[in-house]
Amino acid sequence: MAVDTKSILVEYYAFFREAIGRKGETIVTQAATARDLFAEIDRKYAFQTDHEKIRVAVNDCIVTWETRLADGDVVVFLTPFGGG
Amino acid sequence: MEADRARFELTAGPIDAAHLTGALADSAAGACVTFEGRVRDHNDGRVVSSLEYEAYERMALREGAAVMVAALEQFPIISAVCVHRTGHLSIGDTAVWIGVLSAHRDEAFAACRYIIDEVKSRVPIWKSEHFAPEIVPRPETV
Repeated sequence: MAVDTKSILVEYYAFFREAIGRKGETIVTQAATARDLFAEIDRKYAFQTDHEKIRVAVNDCIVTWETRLADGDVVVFLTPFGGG
Repeated sequence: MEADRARFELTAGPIDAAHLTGALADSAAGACVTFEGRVRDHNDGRVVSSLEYEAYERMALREGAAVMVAALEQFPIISAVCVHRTGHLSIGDTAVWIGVLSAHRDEAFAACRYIIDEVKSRVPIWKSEHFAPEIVPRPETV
């Protein structure tokens, strides 16, 4: 069975941008879901934050962590908002 | 068209509240309620010197527009505008401005409150505060 490798653009804002030091990166991954991708990135950068408060957006829509990723998706991890 | 009656914008430049208020005009409006959120000089007991607002712009514009349309649907108002700053802000700068027109005051107040609460919870904007260095008293000299 062929390995499902996909290219995902991850954009970083706020906490993640500051922690990583850049606004985004393209990740070639075998992550099946948004949860898998976050775990992969977290292993790489070891984020010091409360993971329970983080949400995820795929293609500009907030989705569940079990959402399956497709080649070309744009993913953003969201810490609690602070506007207003 | 709903987009004309309910508008959400992001701006990297200063918010001109007087200009925005002046632009709200409708002969059927008996009430104009505005809210202006400003940068204050303290938070959690610390002195704030300035701050930055950062937006995930594509989603912020879409969610912000959805909040405004929802306000139009839930309250009998004539129109509503919300403008939110991004970038570097100093103490006293306007961070967010909301204006609502309606025939009567109750719905304008309620819609304005609804919009700021929803913007804070739904729109992906983050605040990063710059705190002033703590002032350590100089040791007494003899």
